[in-house]
Amino acid sequence: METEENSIRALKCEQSVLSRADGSVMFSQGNTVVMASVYGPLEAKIQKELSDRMYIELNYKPKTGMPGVAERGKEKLIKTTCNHIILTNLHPRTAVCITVQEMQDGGTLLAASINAVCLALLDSGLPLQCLVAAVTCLVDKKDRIILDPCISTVKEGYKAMFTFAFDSQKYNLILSHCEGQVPYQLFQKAMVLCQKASHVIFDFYRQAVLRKFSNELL
Amino acid sequence: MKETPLSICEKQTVIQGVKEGQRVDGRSLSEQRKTCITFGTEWGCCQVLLGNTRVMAQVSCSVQVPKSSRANEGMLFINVEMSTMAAEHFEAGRLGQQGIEVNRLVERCIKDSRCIDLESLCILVEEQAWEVRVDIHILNHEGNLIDAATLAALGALCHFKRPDVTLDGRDVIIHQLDERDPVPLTILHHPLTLSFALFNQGICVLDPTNLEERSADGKLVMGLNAYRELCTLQISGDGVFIHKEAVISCANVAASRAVQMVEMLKKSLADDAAERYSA
Repeated sequence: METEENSIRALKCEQSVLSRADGSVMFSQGNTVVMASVYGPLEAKIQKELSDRMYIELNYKPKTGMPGVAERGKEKLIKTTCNHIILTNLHPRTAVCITVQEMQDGGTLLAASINAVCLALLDSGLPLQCLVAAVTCLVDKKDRIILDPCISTVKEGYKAMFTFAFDSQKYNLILSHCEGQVPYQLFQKAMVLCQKASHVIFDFYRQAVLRKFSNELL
Repeated sequence: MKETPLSICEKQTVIQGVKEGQRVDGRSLSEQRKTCITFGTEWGCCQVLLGNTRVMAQVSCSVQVPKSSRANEGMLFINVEMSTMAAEHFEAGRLGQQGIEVNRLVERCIKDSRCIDLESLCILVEEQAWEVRVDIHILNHEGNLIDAATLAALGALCHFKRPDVTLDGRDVIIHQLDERDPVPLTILHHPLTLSFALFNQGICVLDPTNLEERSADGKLVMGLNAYRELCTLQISGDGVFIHKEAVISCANVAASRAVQMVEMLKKSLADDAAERYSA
Protein backbone atom coordinates (compact mmCIF):
# COMPACT_ATOMS: atom_id res chain seq x y z
CA MET A 1 0.00 0.00 0.00
CA GLU A 2 1.50 3.28 -1.06
CA THR A 3 0.47 6.53 0.46
CA GLU A 4 0.96 9.55 -1.75
CA GLU A 5 1.32 12.57 0.43
CA ASN A 6 0.11 15.41 -1.66
CA SER A 7 -0.71 18.81 -0.32
CA ILE A 8 -4.06 20.52 -0.66
CA ARG A 9 -4.56 22.77 -3.67
CA ALA A 10 -4.01 26.54 -3.65
CA LEU A 11 -6.44 28.44 -1.40
CA LYS A 12 -7.70 31.91 -2.27
CA CYS A 13 -10.45 34.02 -0.82
CA GLU A 14 -12.02 37.46 -1.02
CA GLN A 15 -14.06 38.53 2.00
CA SER A 16 -17.00 40.97 2.15
CA VAL A 17 -17.76 40.59 -1.55
CA LEU A 18 -21.50 41.19 -1.12
CA SER A 19 -22.68 44.60 0.05
CA ARG A 20 -25.93 43.44 1.63
CA ALA A 21 -24.90 40.34 3.55
CA ASP A 22 -23.53 40.61 7.07
CA GLY A 23 -20.69 38.30 6.09
CA SER A 24 -19.74 36.94 2.70
CA VAL A 25 -16.82 35.29 1.00
CA MET A 26 -15.79 34.07 -2.43
CA PHE A 27 -13.54 31.09 -1.70
CA SER A 28 -11.54 28.95 -4.08
CA GLN A 29 -9.67 25.72 -3.47
CA GLY A 30 -7.83 24.91 -6.69
CA ASN A 31 -10.51 24.98 -9.39
CA THR A 32 -13.43 24.70 -6.98
CA VAL A 33 -15.03 28.09 -6.33
CA VAL A 34 -17.79 28.60 -3.78
CA MET A 35 -19.55 31.72 -2.53
CA ALA A 36 -21.00 31.79 0.98
CA SER A 37 -23.09 34.47 2.68
CA VAL A 38 -24.26 34.89 6.27
CA TYR A 39 -27.15 37.02 7.49
CA GLY A 40 -27.62 37.10 11.24
CA PRO A 41 -28.88 37.35 13.85
CA LEU A 42 -32.19 37.80 12.02
CA GLU A 43 -35.81 37.76 13.10
CA ALA A 44 -36.82 34.08 13.10
CA LYS A 45 -40.14 32.80 11.75
CA ILE A 46 -42.45 31.92 14.61
CA GLN A 47 -42.60 28.22 13.66
CA LYS A 48 -38.83 27.99 13.54
CA GLU A 49 -38.08 30.08 16.62
CA LEU A 50 -36.18 28.30 19.43
CA SER A 51 -36.51 29.64 22.96
CA ASP A 52 -32.96 28.97 24.12
CA ARG A 53 -30.78 29.29 21.04
CA MET A 54 -30.37 30.62 17.51
CA TYR A 55 -31.93 28.70 14.66
CA ILE A 56 -29.51 27.90 11.83
CA GLU A 57 -30.97 27.93 8.35
CA LEU A 58 -28.65 26.70 5.66
CA ASN A 59 -29.18 26.57 1.89
CA TYR A 60 -26.87 24.96 -0.60
CA LYS A 61 -27.51 26.04 -4.17
CA PRO A 62 -26.14 24.11 -7.13
CA LYS A 63 -25.13 25.97 -10.26
CA THR A 64 -27.45 24.17 -12.69
CA GLY A 65 -30.80 22.54 -12.10
CA MET A 66 -33.05 22.54 -9.08
CA PRO A 67 -31.65 21.55 -5.67
CA GLY A 68 -32.22 17.84 -5.11
CA VAL A 69 -31.36 15.07 -2.70
CA ALA A 70 -27.58 15.50 -3.00
CA GLU A 71 -27.91 19.18 -2.10
CA ARG A 72 -30.09 18.38 0.92
CA GLY A 73 -27.44 15.88 2.00
CA LYS A 74 -24.70 18.52 1.80
CA GLU A 75 -26.90 20.98 3.70
CA LYS A 76 -27.35 18.51 6.54
CA LEU A 77 -23.59 17.91 6.79
CA ILE A 78 -22.65 21.60 6.71
CA LYS A 79 -25.40 22.38 9.24
CA THR A 80 -23.98 19.78 11.65
CA THR A 81 -20.62 21.54 11.50
CA CYS A 82 -22.21 24.96 11.97
CA ASN A 83 -24.17 23.78 14.99
CA HIS A 84 -20.89 22.88 16.61
CA ILE A 85 -18.97 26.06 15.90
CA ILE A 86 -21.56 28.84 16.29
CA LEU A 87 -22.37 29.91 19.86
CA THR A 88 -26.10 29.67 19.36
CA ASN A 89 -26.91 30.15 23.04
CA LEU A 90 -25.94 33.81 22.85
CA HIS A 91 -28.81 34.75 20.52
CA PRO A 92 -32.03 32.95 21.49
CA ARG A 93 -35.21 33.36 19.42
CA THR A 94 -33.26 34.60 16.40
CA ALA A 95 -32.10 32.92 13.23
CA VAL A 96 -28.95 32.93 11.12
CA CYS A 97 -29.32 32.41 7.40
CA ILE A 98 -26.33 30.85 5.65
CA THR A 99 -26.36 30.36 1.89
CA VAL A 100 -23.72 28.49 -0.09
CA GLN A 101 -23.66 28.98 -3.87
CA GLU A 102 -21.64 26.67 -6.08
CA MET A 103 -19.73 28.84 -8.55
CA GLN A 104 -17.44 26.24 -10.13
CA ASP A 105 -17.11 22.51 -9.52
CA GLY A 106 -13.51 21.33 -9.47
CA GLY A 107 -14.12 18.41 -7.07
CA THR A 108 -14.40 18.46 -3.21
CA LEU A 109 -17.43 20.77 -3.09
CA LEU A 110 -18.40 19.69 0.44
CA ALA A 111 -15.01 20.56 1.95
CA ALA A 112 -14.82 23.84 0.04
CA SER A 113 -18.35 24.74 1.20
CA ILE A 114 -17.52 24.11 4.86
CA ASN A 115 -14.35 26.21 4.59
CA ALA A 116 -16.24 29.00 2.82
CA VAL A 117 -18.97 29.00 5.50
CA CYS A 118 -16.29 29.28 8.21
CA LEU A 119 -14.73 32.28 6.47
CA ALA A 120 -18.12 33.91 5.93
CA LEU A 121 -18.97 33.46 9.62
CA LEU A 122 -15.63 35.06 10.49
CA ASP A 123 -16.47 37.95 8.17
CA SER A 124 -19.91 38.43 9.72
CA GLY A 125 -18.61 38.77 13.27
CA LEU A 126 -20.96 36.16 14.76
CA PRO A 127 -19.50 34.68 17.96
CA LEU A 128 -17.87 31.33 17.23
CA GLN A 129 -16.62 28.66 19.59
CA CYS A 130 -13.83 27.65 17.22
CA LEU A 131 -13.03 27.59 13.52
CA VAL A 132 -13.42 24.57 11.29
CA ALA A 133 -11.34 23.26 8.39
CA ALA A 134 -12.57 20.50 6.09
CA VAL A 135 -10.33 18.29 3.96
CA THR A 136 -11.30 15.64 1.43
CA CYS A 137 -9.17 12.66 0.54
CA LEU A 138 -9.67 9.82 -1.85
CA VAL A 139 -8.50 6.20 -1.85
CA ASP A 140 -8.10 5.22 -5.49
CA LYS A 141 -8.37 1.77 -7.00
CA LYS A 142 -4.67 1.12 -6.33
CA ASP A 143 -5.03 1.87 -2.59
CA ARG A 144 -3.17 5.17 -2.85
CA ILE A 145 -4.40 8.01 -0.64
CA ILE A 146 -4.78 11.22 -2.65
CA LEU A 147 -5.35 14.40 -0.67
CA ASP A 148 -7.75 17.05 -2.00
CA PRO A 149 -8.48 15.38 -5.36
CA CYS A 150 -9.45 17.42 -8.39
CA ILE A 151 -12.49 16.49 -10.45
CA SER A 152 -10.56 14.49 -13.06
CA THR A 153 -9.14 12.23 -10.32
CA VAL A 154 -12.63 11.74 -8.88
CA LYS A 155 -14.08 10.88 -12.30
CA GLU A 156 -11.46 8.14 -12.82
CA GLY A 157 -13.11 6.13 -10.05
CA TYR A 158 -12.20 5.42 -6.45
CA LYS A 159 -12.57 2.87 -3.69
CA ALA A 160 -13.53 5.41 -1.05
CA MET A 161 -13.78 9.15 -0.53
CA PHE A 162 -13.63 10.79 2.90
CA THR A 163 -14.37 14.33 4.02
CA PHE A 164 -13.19 15.24 7.50
CA ALA A 165 -13.70 18.51 9.36
CA PHE A 166 -11.51 19.49 12.30
CA ASP A 167 -11.79 22.21 14.92
CA SER A 168 -9.10 24.83 15.40
CA GLN A 169 -8.42 24.37 19.11
CA LYS A 170 -7.31 20.75 19.53
CA TYR A 171 -7.72 19.59 15.91
CA ASN A 172 -10.41 17.14 17.01
CA LEU A 173 -12.71 15.57 14.48
CA ILE A 174 -16.05 17.37 14.12
CA LEU A 175 -17.41 15.79 10.96
CA SER A 176 -16.64 12.61 9.08
CA HIS A 177 -18.40 11.79 5.83
CA CYS A 178 -17.37 8.58 4.07
CA GLU A 179 -18.32 6.96 0.79
CA GLY A 180 -17.07 3.52 -0.10
CA GLN A 181 -15.39 0.61 1.66
CA VAL A 182 -11.83 0.40 2.99
CA PRO A 183 -10.04 -1.43 5.83
CA TYR A 184 -9.90 0.43 9.12
CA GLN A 185 -6.11 1.07 9.03
CA LEU A 186 -6.47 2.93 5.74
CA PHE A 187 -9.27 5.02 7.21
CA GLN A 188 -7.03 5.94 10.17
CA LYS A 189 -4.16 6.84 7.86
CA ALA A 190 -6.43 9.02 5.76
CA MET A 191 -7.76 10.80 8.84
CA VAL A 192 -4.26 11.54 10.18
CA LEU A 193 -3.22 12.86 6.77
CA CYS A 194 -6.26 15.15 6.61
CA GLN A 195 -5.66 16.34 10.15
CA LYS A 196 -2.15 17.45 9.18
CA ALA A 197 -3.50 19.20 6.11
CA SER A 198 -6.08 21.11 8.17
CA HIS A 199 -3.21 23.09 9.76
CA VAL A 200 -2.57 24.64 6.35
CA ILE A 201 -6.18 25.74 6.12
CA PHE A 202 -6.16 27.29 9.61
CA ASP A 203 -3.00 29.22 8.69
CA PHE A 204 -4.80 30.43 5.59
CA TYR A 205 -7.74 31.71 7.66
CA ARG A 206 -5.34 33.63 9.87
CA GLN A 207 -3.65 35.20 6.82
CA ALA A 208 -7.01 36.10 5.29
CA VAL A 209 -8.19 37.90 8.43
CA LEU A 210 -4.81 39.67 8.82
CA ARG A 211 -5.02 40.87 5.24
CA LYS A 212 -8.59 42.03 5.65
CA PHE A 213 -7.91 44.10 8.73
CA SER A 214 -4.63 45.53 7.47
CA ASN A 215 -6.53 46.71 4.37
CA GLU A 216 -9.16 48.36 6.51
CA LEU A 217 -6.60 50.18 8.60
CA LEU A 218 -4.72 51.54 5.60
CA MET B 1 -37.60 37.82 7.26
CA LYS B 2 -39.40 40.94 6.09
CA GLU B 3 -37.65 43.72 4.24
CA THR B 4 -36.72 46.70 6.43
CA PRO B 5 -39.35 49.37 5.72
CA LEU B 6 -38.37 52.42 3.71
CA SER B 7 -38.40 55.51 5.89
CA ILE B 8 -40.35 58.57 4.73
CA CYS B 9 -37.34 60.87 4.93
CA GLU B 10 -35.25 58.55 2.74
CA LYS B 11 -38.04 58.48 0.16
CA GLN B 12 -38.48 62.28 0.29
CA THR B 13 -34.73 62.81 -0.16
CA VAL B 14 -34.64 60.64 -3.25
CA ILE B 15 -37.74 62.27 -4.80
CA GLN B 16 -36.51 65.78 -4.01
CA GLY B 17 -33.06 65.02 -5.37
CA VAL B 18 -34.46 63.54 -8.56
CA LYS B 19 -36.65 66.63 -9.10
CA GLU B 20 -33.45 68.70 -8.99
CA GLY B 21 -31.64 66.26 -11.28
CA GLN B 22 -29.42 64.86 -8.53
CA ARG B 23 -29.05 61.25 -7.42
CA VAL B 24 -27.87 59.90 -4.09
CA ASP B 25 -24.75 58.30 -5.60
CA GLY B 26 -23.89 61.37 -7.69
CA ARG B 27 -24.82 59.99 -11.12
CA SER B 28 -26.81 61.95 -13.68
CA LEU B 29 -30.39 60.83 -14.42
CA SER B 30 -29.39 58.88 -17.53
CA GLU B 31 -26.12 57.45 -16.32
CA GLN B 32 -25.64 53.74 -15.70
CA ARG B 33 -23.49 52.28 -12.96
CA LYS B 34 -20.12 50.71 -13.67
CA THR B 35 -20.68 47.37 -15.40
CA CYS B 36 -18.25 44.44 -15.13
CA ILE B 37 -18.70 41.26 -17.17
CA THR B 38 -16.53 38.22 -16.35
CA PHE B 39 -16.62 34.63 -17.54
CA GLY B 40 -15.77 31.40 -15.75
CA THR B 41 -13.63 28.48 -16.90
CA GLU B 42 -16.68 26.42 -17.86
CA TRP B 43 -18.36 27.31 -21.14
CA GLY B 44 -21.51 29.31 -20.54
CA CYS B 45 -20.68 30.79 -17.13
CA CYS B 46 -21.05 34.56 -16.88
CA GLN B 47 -20.99 36.89 -13.88
CA VAL B 48 -22.23 40.48 -14.14
CA LEU B 49 -21.58 43.29 -11.65
CA LEU B 50 -23.88 46.26 -12.19
CA GLY B 51 -22.63 48.64 -9.52
CA ASN B 52 -23.05 46.39 -6.47
CA THR B 53 -25.76 44.20 -7.96
CA ARG B 54 -24.19 40.82 -8.67
CA VAL B 55 -25.77 38.14 -10.87
CA MET B 56 -24.34 34.88 -12.21
CA ALA B 57 -25.76 32.87 -15.10
CA GLN B 58 -24.87 29.34 -16.18
CA VAL B 59 -25.98 27.68 -19.40
CA SER B 60 -26.26 23.91 -19.76
CA CYS B 61 -27.78 21.69 -22.41
CA SER B 62 -29.34 18.27 -22.67
CA VAL B 63 -31.00 16.24 -25.40
CA GLN B 64 -34.81 16.08 -25.13
CA VAL B 65 -37.83 15.29 -27.28
CA PRO B 66 -38.93 18.50 -29.02
CA LYS B 67 -42.41 19.93 -28.44
CA SER B 68 -45.00 18.48 -30.81
CA SER B 69 -46.15 21.96 -31.85
CA ARG B 70 -42.58 22.89 -32.82
CA ALA B 71 -41.03 19.62 -33.84
CA ASN B 72 -38.11 21.12 -35.76
CA GLU B 73 -36.88 23.47 -33.03
CA GLY B 74 -34.80 23.13 -29.91
CA MET B 75 -35.95 24.58 -26.59
CA LEU B 76 -34.72 27.40 -24.40
CA PHE B 77 -35.58 27.37 -20.70
CA ILE B 78 -34.79 30.31 -18.44
CA ASN B 79 -34.83 29.93 -14.67
CA VAL B 80 -34.15 32.72 -12.20
CA GLU B 81 -33.05 31.66 -8.72
CA MET B 82 -33.25 33.99 -5.79
CA SER B 83 -32.06 33.09 -2.34
CA THR B 84 -31.39 34.71 0.98
CA MET B 85 -27.89 35.48 -0.28
CA ALA B 86 -29.17 38.36 -2.42
CA ALA B 87 -31.31 40.00 0.26
CA GLU B 88 -32.62 38.95 3.65
CA HIS B 89 -36.28 39.10 2.60
CA PHE B 90 -35.87 36.67 -0.30
CA GLU B 91 -36.91 33.11 0.42
CA ALA B 92 -34.84 30.27 -0.95
CA GLY B 93 -36.71 28.03 -3.38
CA ARG B 94 -39.72 30.26 -3.75
CA LEU B 95 -39.79 33.18 -6.18
CA GLY B 96 -41.71 36.09 -4.72
CA GLN B 97 -43.54 38.66 -6.80
CA GLN B 98 -40.31 40.44 -7.65
CA GLY B 99 -38.65 37.18 -8.66
CA ILE B 100 -41.50 36.27 -10.99
CA GLU B 101 -41.28 39.73 -12.58
CA VAL B 102 -37.54 39.32 -13.22
CA ASN B 103 -38.05 35.81 -14.61
CA ARG B 104 -40.84 36.90 -16.94
CA LEU B 105 -38.99 39.95 -18.25
CA VAL B 106 -35.77 38.03 -18.94
CA GLU B 107 -37.85 35.39 -20.74
CA ARG B 108 -39.65 38.00 -22.82
CA CYS B 109 -36.45 39.77 -23.76
CA ILE B 110 -34.44 36.70 -24.69
CA LYS B 111 -36.97 34.05 -25.70
CA ASP B 112 -39.69 36.14 -27.32
CA SER B 113 -37.24 38.25 -29.32
CA ARG B 114 -35.99 34.99 -30.85
CA CYS B 115 -32.35 36.01 -30.56
CA ILE B 116 -31.22 32.36 -30.41
CA ASP B 117 -31.75 30.34 -33.59
CA LEU B 118 -33.74 27.42 -32.16
CA GLU B 119 -33.97 25.56 -35.47
CA SER B 120 -30.20 24.99 -35.41
CA LEU B 121 -30.68 23.15 -32.12
CA CYS B 122 -32.77 20.42 -33.71
CA ILE B 123 -31.00 17.07 -34.14
CA LEU B 124 -33.71 14.75 -35.49
CA VAL B 125 -37.11 16.24 -36.29
CA GLU B 126 -39.81 15.09 -33.83
CA GLU B 127 -37.30 12.88 -31.98
CA GLN B 128 -34.29 14.69 -30.58
CA ALA B 129 -33.39 18.31 -30.02
CA TRP B 130 -31.17 20.28 -27.68
CA GLU B 131 -32.80 21.89 -24.66
CA VAL B 132 -30.69 24.84 -23.58
CA ARG B 133 -31.20 25.74 -19.94
CA VAL B 134 -30.12 29.09 -18.45
CA ASP B 135 -29.92 29.23 -14.65
CA ILE B 136 -29.62 32.79 -13.40
CA HIS B 137 -28.56 33.20 -9.77
CA ILE B 138 -29.09 36.55 -8.09
CA LEU B 139 -26.17 36.93 -5.69
CA ASN B 140 -26.55 40.49 -4.41
CA HIS B 141 -29.56 42.83 -4.75
CA GLU B 142 -28.67 46.51 -4.95
CA GLY B 143 -31.30 47.48 -7.51
CA ASN B 144 -32.02 46.82 -11.16
CA LEU B 145 -32.07 43.03 -11.07
CA ILE B 146 -33.76 42.81 -14.48
CA ASP B 147 -30.94 44.49 -16.42
CA ALA B 148 -28.23 42.55 -14.61
CA ALA B 149 -30.07 39.24 -15.09
CA THR B 150 -30.66 39.81 -18.81
CA LEU B 151 -27.06 40.86 -19.38
CA ALA B 152 -25.76 37.83 -17.48
CA ALA B 153 -28.10 35.48 -19.38
CA LEU B 154 -27.10 36.95 -22.74
CA GLY B 155 -23.41 36.86 -21.85
CA ALA B 156 -23.69 33.23 -20.77
CA LEU B 157 -25.55 32.28 -23.98
CA CYS B 158 -22.94 34.03 -26.14
CA HIS B 159 -20.16 32.28 -24.23
CA PHE B 160 -21.72 28.82 -24.22
CA LYS B 161 -20.63 25.97 -26.50
CA ARG B 162 -22.61 22.78 -26.92
CA PRO B 163 -21.21 19.33 -27.82
CA ASP B 164 -20.86 18.62 -31.52
CA VAL B 165 -23.31 16.16 -33.10
CA THR B 166 -22.97 14.05 -36.25
CA LEU B 167 -25.78 12.22 -37.97
CA ASP B 168 -25.00 8.84 -39.50
CA GLY B 169 -28.24 8.01 -41.31
CA ARG B 170 -30.65 7.77 -38.38
CA ASP B 171 -27.91 7.30 -35.75
CA VAL B 172 -27.03 10.31 -33.68
CA ILE B 173 -23.48 10.55 -32.34
CA ILE B 174 -22.90 13.17 -29.64
CA HIS B 175 -19.18 13.80 -29.40
CA GLN B 176 -17.40 14.26 -26.08
CA LEU B 177 -15.81 17.63 -25.41
CA ASP B 178 -12.29 16.24 -25.77
CA GLU B 179 -13.14 14.33 -28.98
CA ARG B 180 -14.36 17.26 -31.01
CA ASP B 181 -14.40 20.98 -30.25
CA PRO B 182 -17.76 22.18 -28.94
CA VAL B 183 -19.93 24.42 -31.12
CA PRO B 184 -21.25 27.86 -30.08
CA LEU B 185 -24.96 28.73 -30.26
CA THR B 186 -26.25 30.75 -33.21
CA ILE B 187 -27.11 34.19 -31.85
CA LEU B 188 -28.95 36.39 -34.32
CA HIS B 189 -28.96 39.63 -32.34
CA HIS B 190 -28.18 40.77 -28.80
CA PRO B 191 -31.23 42.06 -26.92
CA LEU B 192 -30.65 43.76 -23.57
CA THR B 193 -33.04 45.37 -21.14
CA LEU B 194 -32.67 48.85 -19.75
CA SER B 195 -34.80 49.85 -16.77
CA PHE B 196 -35.98 53.28 -15.72
CA ALA B 197 -37.54 54.20 -12.40
CA LEU B 198 -40.55 56.48 -13.00
CA PHE B 199 -41.41 59.32 -10.70
CA ASN B 200 -44.81 60.94 -11.07
CA GLN B 201 -43.29 64.33 -11.70
CA GLY B 202 -42.49 63.02 -15.17
CA ILE B 203 -38.91 62.06 -14.40
CA CYS B 204 -37.26 58.86 -15.61
CA VAL B 205 -34.10 57.64 -13.94
CA LEU B 206 -31.90 55.06 -15.69
CA ASP B 207 -30.48 52.07 -13.77
CA PRO B 208 -32.10 52.71 -10.38
CA THR B 209 -30.47 51.53 -7.17
CA ASN B 210 -32.53 49.65 -4.60
CA LEU B 211 -33.38 52.87 -2.75
CA GLU B 212 -34.51 54.62 -5.95
CA GLU B 213 -36.60 51.61 -7.02
CA ARG B 214 -38.43 51.58 -3.71
CA SER B 215 -39.03 55.34 -3.70
CA ALA B 216 -40.25 55.46 -7.30
CA ASP B 217 -43.86 55.29 -8.42
CA GLY B 218 -43.34 52.92 -11.32
CA LYS B 219 -40.93 51.19 -13.60
CA LEU B 220 -40.29 51.27 -17.34
CA VAL B 221 -38.36 48.37 -18.85
CA MET B 222 -37.20 48.46 -22.46
CA GLY B 223 -35.53 45.66 -24.35
CA LEU B 224 -33.31 46.85 -27.19
CA ASN B 225 -30.57 45.41 -29.34
CA ALA B 226 -27.50 46.88 -31.01
CA TYR B 227 -29.51 47.86 -34.09
CA ARG B 228 -31.74 50.12 -31.96
CA GLU B 229 -34.70 47.73 -32.43
CA LEU B 230 -37.22 47.56 -29.60
CA CYS B 231 -37.83 43.97 -28.43
CA THR B 232 -39.61 44.42 -25.12
CA LEU B 233 -41.57 47.19 -23.44
CA GLN B 234 -43.16 47.12 -20.01
CA ILE B 235 -44.53 49.88 -17.82
CA SER B 236 -45.58 48.87 -14.31
CA GLY B 237 -46.58 50.53 -11.08
CA ASP B 238 -49.81 51.51 -9.34
CA GLY B 239 -50.96 54.94 -10.25
CA VAL B 240 -47.99 55.86 -12.41
CA PHE B 241 -48.56 58.09 -15.40
CA ILE B 242 -46.05 58.95 -18.09
CA HIS B 243 -46.20 61.17 -21.18
CA LYS B 244 -45.59 59.64 -24.57
CA GLU B 245 -42.74 62.14 -25.17
CA ALA B 246 -41.06 60.82 -22.03
CA VAL B 247 -41.30 57.27 -23.36
CA ILE B 248 -39.73 58.31 -26.68
CA SER B 249 -36.89 60.19 -24.99
CA CYS B 250 -36.26 57.22 -22.66
CA ALA B 251 -36.17 54.97 -25.72
CA ASN B 252 -33.51 57.18 -27.32
CA VAL B 253 -31.37 57.17 -24.17
CA ALA B 254 -31.82 53.42 -23.82
CA ALA B 255 -31.01 52.73 -27.48
CA SER B 256 -27.65 54.53 -27.38
CA ARG B 257 -26.84 52.86 -24.09
CA ALA B 258 -27.80 49.43 -25.49
CA VAL B 259 -25.38 49.87 -28.40
CA GLN B 260 -22.57 50.65 -25.91
CA MET B 261 -23.45 47.66 -23.69
CA VAL B 262 -23.47 45.21 -26.61
CA GLU B 263 -20.04 46.58 -27.60
CA MET B 264 -18.82 46.02 -24.05
CA LEU B 265 -20.22 42.48 -24.03
CA LYS B 266 -18.56 41.62 -27.34
CA LYS B 267 -15.27 43.05 -26.10
CA SER B 268 -15.43 40.98 -22.88
CA LEU B 269 -16.13 37.86 -24.94
CA ALA B 270 -13.16 38.62 -27.21
CA ASP B 271 -10.89 39.22 -24.19
CA ASP B 272 -11.98 35.92 -22.67
CA ALA B 273 -11.34 34.08 -25.95
CA ALA B 274 -7.86 35.63 -26.20
CA GLU B 275 -7.03 34.59 -22.63
CA ARG B 276 -8.14 31.01 -23.27
CA TYR B 277 -6.10 30.88 -26.45
CA SER B 278 -2.93 32.08 -24.75
CA ALA B 279 -3.36 29.74 -21.74
